Amino acid sequence: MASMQPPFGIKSPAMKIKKILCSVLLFCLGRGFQTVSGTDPDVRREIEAWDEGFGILFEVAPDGPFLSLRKGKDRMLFAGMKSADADMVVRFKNIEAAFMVLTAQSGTPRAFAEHRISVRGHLPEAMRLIRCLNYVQYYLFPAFIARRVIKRLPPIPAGRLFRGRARVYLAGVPLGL
Amino acid sequence: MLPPYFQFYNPVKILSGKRALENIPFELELLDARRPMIVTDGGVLQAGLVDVLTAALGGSHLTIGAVYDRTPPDSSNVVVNEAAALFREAGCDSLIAVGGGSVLDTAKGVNIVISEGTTDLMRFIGADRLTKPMMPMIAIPTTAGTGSEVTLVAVIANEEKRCKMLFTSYLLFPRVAVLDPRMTLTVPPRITAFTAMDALTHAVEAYSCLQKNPLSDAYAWAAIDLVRRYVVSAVMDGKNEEARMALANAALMAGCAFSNSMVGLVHGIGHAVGAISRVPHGLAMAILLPWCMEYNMGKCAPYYGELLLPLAGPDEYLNTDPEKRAGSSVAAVRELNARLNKLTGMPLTLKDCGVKRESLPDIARTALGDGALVFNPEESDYEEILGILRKAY
Repeated sequence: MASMQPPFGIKSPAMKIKKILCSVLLFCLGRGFQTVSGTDPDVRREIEAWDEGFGILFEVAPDGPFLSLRKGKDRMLFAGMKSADADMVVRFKNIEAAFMVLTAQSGTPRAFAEHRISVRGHLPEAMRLIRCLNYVQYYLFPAFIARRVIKRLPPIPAGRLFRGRARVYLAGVPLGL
Repeated sequence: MLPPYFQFYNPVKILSGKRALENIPFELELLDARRPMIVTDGGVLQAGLVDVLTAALGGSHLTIGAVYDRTPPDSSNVVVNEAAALFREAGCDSLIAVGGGSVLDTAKGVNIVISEGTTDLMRFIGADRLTKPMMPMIAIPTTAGTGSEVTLVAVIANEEKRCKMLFTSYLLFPRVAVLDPRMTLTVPPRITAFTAMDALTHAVEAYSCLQKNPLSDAYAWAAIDLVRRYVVSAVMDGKNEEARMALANAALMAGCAFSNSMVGLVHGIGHAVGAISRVPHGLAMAILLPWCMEYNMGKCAPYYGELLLPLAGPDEYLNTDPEKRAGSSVAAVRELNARLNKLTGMPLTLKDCGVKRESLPDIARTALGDGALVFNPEESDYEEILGILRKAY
């Protein structure tokens, strides 16, 4: 009990594990976003509005993990797992919020509605990002999971969805292609 | 049904009713403020409402440090910075905002500029970006619609970048909201109708959007009930204090509701209609509400069905087959619109508001970028929004 005498820091092994898992899932999201933004015509059309160099940062309060994305010439580029200057910052207010969204227990719109996420940046661009995330999540998750987190599945033709998923899982996430 | 999780916050002290204005000096004293700046607009000034306020403050130890009365119908960063400069020059320590939504948002913007020590509002757009404690602000609405006196939101245009900047922060709540019957008695019947429909839309959307919860539901329900019972009386007899106060309280409660559970598709499209075609916000809400309710029917029918009770009253609710209640709620909104049209000439279509058919695609594109769409239960894309606009045309 001596260690419980205040003041004391609060350590949680469970949170550490969740943090590691969130890092892995953010990595998959970033790599997946990179691939989908280069191949899916609807997502490409959305990101056309962003200037080259437009930065998006996902961060989990209070001290990470982070995911940084940057607009390349014609697609989003995975820019690493560290904090960076960005035009738009999507901030999960705690690791639990990030864990719920990244493991598809809660959709992005619901997480916004529940104030689990805050966004710094222009709202129209945030809306654009949410539309892109709908597509990326549909490529990353099977339909029965995607349905839980996306209000309505994006209208991706079956062939494109199959090829896109193969590319995301076989080349995008593991190789960053 | 309870949502899996929700937040609810409303820290605003509410003074509502006869001679409420006279309590302002006491409230400012509690907040350790003695030299407020009044923020208002030309219309409010001309209507003599600032005189009513200053008369009510007479005999107190307050000193009105400055009066900023140049707020335009759509507030902007230039206006906010001008008002903030006046605030600093006059050595003020608090704000009293007297007016409609634009005035209240201007005062919130002044508070950001003063408290954060900046002139660049762009740095703070988005959610939860403000960190510094704000100056005490007292909000006195002179229209019964926006509910801005109890919301955490401010919308301010950026003149250089030609965009609307949205700020949401728990620090933006005014400290006190004052509803005094003297402040809304002069609102013309048409504006009374528009603003009441704005309040009704806030309540209906708060009751049916993603973050609906038992607390915001209670506020929304009471707001709808008051609008149904009093809007026609207030429109027909502007001097009816009971009706005026009922609408003022309805707008405030709808504001509490949507400040927590947010608004959806009607506002998403309505903001774009206002931005592109300059249609008054409340009017856009009145026209779009029934069409958007129909669009959302797949996901919101149970909620709309429940709302038939406050929207149409107990007799109609009991006499309507439960399966048909949601549809009857939409019909009740249409009936109310038709009644207000008869009484005030309030337009019922976008065409009658002067919206050009060729601007509908632009409106739909702009609406897609509106944050309110996130909170709408039903997804909507460009074609679907255009479809709603065509129906409302």
